[in-house]
Amino acid sequence: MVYGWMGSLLEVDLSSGEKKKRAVATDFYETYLGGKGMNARIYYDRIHPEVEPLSPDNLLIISTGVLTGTMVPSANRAIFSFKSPQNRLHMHSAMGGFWPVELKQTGHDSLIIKGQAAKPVYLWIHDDIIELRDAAHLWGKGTYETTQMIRKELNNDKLQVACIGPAGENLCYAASIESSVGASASRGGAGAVMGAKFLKAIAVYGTRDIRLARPHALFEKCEQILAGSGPFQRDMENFSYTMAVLNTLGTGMFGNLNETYPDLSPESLFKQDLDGIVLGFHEWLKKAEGSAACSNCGVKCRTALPLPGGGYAYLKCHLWNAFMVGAKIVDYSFVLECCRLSQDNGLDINAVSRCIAFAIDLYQQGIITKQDTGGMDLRWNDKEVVYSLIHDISLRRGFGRMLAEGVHAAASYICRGAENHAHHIKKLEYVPSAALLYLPYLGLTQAISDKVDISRNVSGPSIAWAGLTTEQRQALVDSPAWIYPKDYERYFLQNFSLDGSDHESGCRFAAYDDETYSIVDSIGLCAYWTVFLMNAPINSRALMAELVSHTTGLDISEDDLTLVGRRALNLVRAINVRSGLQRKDDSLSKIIHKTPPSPFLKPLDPVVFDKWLDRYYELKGWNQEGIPTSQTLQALGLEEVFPALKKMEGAHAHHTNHKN
Amino acid sequence: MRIIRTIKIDTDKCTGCRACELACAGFHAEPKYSTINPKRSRIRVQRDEQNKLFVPVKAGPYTEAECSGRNILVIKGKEYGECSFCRSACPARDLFKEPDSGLPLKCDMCGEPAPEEPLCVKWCLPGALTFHKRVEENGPVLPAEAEYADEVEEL
Ligand code: SF4
Ligand code: SF4
Ligand code: SF4
Repeated sequence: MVYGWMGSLLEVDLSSGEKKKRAVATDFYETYLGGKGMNARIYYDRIHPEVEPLSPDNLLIISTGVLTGTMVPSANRAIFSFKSPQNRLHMHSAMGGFWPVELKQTGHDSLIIKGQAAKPVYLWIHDDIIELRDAAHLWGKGTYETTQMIRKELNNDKLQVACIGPAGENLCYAASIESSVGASASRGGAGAVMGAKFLKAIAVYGTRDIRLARPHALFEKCEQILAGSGPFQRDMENFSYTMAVLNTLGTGMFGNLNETYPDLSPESLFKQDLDGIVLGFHEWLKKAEGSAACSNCGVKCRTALPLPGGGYAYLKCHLWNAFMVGAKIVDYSFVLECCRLSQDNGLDINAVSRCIAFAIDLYQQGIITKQDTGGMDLRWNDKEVVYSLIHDISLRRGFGRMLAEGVHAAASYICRGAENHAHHIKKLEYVPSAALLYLPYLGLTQAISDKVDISRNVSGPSIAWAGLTTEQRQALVDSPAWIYPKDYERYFLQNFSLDGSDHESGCRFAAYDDETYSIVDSIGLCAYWTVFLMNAPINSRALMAELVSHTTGLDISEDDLTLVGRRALNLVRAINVRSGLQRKDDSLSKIIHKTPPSPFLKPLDPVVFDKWLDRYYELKGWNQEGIPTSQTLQALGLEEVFPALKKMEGAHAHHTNHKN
Repeated sequence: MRIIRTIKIDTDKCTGCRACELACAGFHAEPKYSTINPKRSRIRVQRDEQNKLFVPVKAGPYTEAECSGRNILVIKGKEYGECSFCRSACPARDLFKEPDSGLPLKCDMCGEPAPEEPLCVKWCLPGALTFHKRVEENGPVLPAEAEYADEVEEL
């Protein structure tokens, strides 16, 4: 009997209607643990480089983690992996909320969806009842209404729904798969992959037990975690606030890449009415009616705000700022409406807000005109422009057709120099934090990311690092917030210059953190509780290993866990190299190397950036083309992957970034 | 002397996270904590995200027959059937019944010996559930109290 896992995988072929439930071998579980790692293995074996992302051959692979649904706080994640239509590379989108736990309780750790239905359908999984049901009446509906209609139709108000909105149906590359309280699998066009399969929704309701191997030990550990989570709870209460204030300022300060570069001079910063902004936000927060959270998470993560037209929006993290910075509008009611529209249409807020910023920028620069926009006058600080663009993009209507495949694709249609304004990493739009990218740690974590999502790259302590005094750094190293191995302390304590020339610390932390994220995404925990925030209660790999061991009854050491993370990361790298990923793709927007957004900053020297990359690859055990070496793969038991990579070696003449 | 033990539910503070369900389900598993299954929990959270309505409901007594006339509640302008907030394990629905055997579930304030704090309260970090204990002089148990207090322990 396996503990922690349910023991089965469900595979549904939408073309033939066939449903297969298969037992999963124990050693497969032990090698990958779940989530990102398990998906990457299935992806490597079954999605070949020539598969078209929007064809029936692409798979949507969904796996919960070994801890998902257990008592471990925040263990509520599932990872959605697929070949992204946006960059034709591997994508893993994480979903929290309640859907993943419900899926696991149907008795399936993983769900693989293949093929393509002949007409819109939705999938209903209730323990062993597995049905494909007609979704003609749901097609075209928003995600809120779809969820309600399915609950009513199946007469079960407790089932959970993951569904796409119009954006997914219309194969927008910013399309997400949405679920409850704003939980979604957003990055890389997850919704478009579902839309291409004519799969509107996956409804789940499960009544199976999740079995724990060492229940008392696990409960005790969890109670300890909760008891020590005070500082984290307080941080989370202030998180929305911090985000909002930072990002209200951010219209000037964070560096909106899509505009004539913001003025980061001290005069301009202090000219802004900081007190006014803070006060205004306090006023605004008075409208909040409490908070909401994902399954088994006791923090006040999402602020609940009533929508003017009825209903509520739940704001967290970048939802607060993405559109404000993108459209240069400081207005929280605008944020609410954008949030509602994106969730209902099923759109990734980071991607769509950047597409909109890009379009307004091009228009303002005179690169596009009313002829391109269908008569629309694209101005900064105009809410209506943003609302209509959101609709046009999700319906691929008018000018929205041009933007529906992201900024990279749009720039190549438009030409006329538009590509200089299209900011993306590996063709994925990213969070606007231009000023931060100049530090080795932050620039590197974004450039090498296999997801290009700031909350899948960076850790609380390392983000804070640059802003701390020597004493503060020492205090952090001595506190429970310290997450790195003992011998990393000196890298944290040392001083550094701001020109990026001493990059050792940044490279080390980056190479450590992306591995930790791969662990977290394989075992099923939330990034906030583990890596992303400074006082995260489950921030050490040793603690994660203990939780996995108590859950499964296997003795998983910290080193075993490290291998699991490393294996997932290297498999994803192998998949991407096999699909043509090259060293030059691990790069930042060109603008970073040309015109910095502040007189404080010098353009990032490409030679310097190349040194960061060299060192990072070395730490990863990859060659200078960014390809995992055979020794690295061997140590992970992945040697059979090497021949496919060997073929890619030298396939692209060795270019470092500064040479091309 | 008797001790009256009550859990106060502050729905405004509830974030709908369902940690209470998991804790209760784990606590009552056989052997203790060995499985997690919120469908076996004696507290279930009625969640309506669109209306920001999160109402934890603790399982009350089993009823043999469903209510004949059911009322409609209007909360924040939205209509809900009365069943949504009802505590009973009742023939009309699956709520508060073991999923396999169908046997009714009832909150036992965590059984004997009673834990210092009920499990659902302990796991509710947002403080929506709070535990209250009060000692009263002996006297006839008033019908209203007998009905609503969760547990009355005669000393
Ligand atoms: S911290 Fe936020 S995102 Fe993470 S599990 Fe809790 S509610 Fe979900
Ligand atoms: S644990 Fe508390 S906040 Fe969470 S659902 Fe239960 S009562 Fe609500
Ligand atoms: S008081 Fe105890 S038995 Fe009752 S619902 Fe809470 S955890 Fe369950």
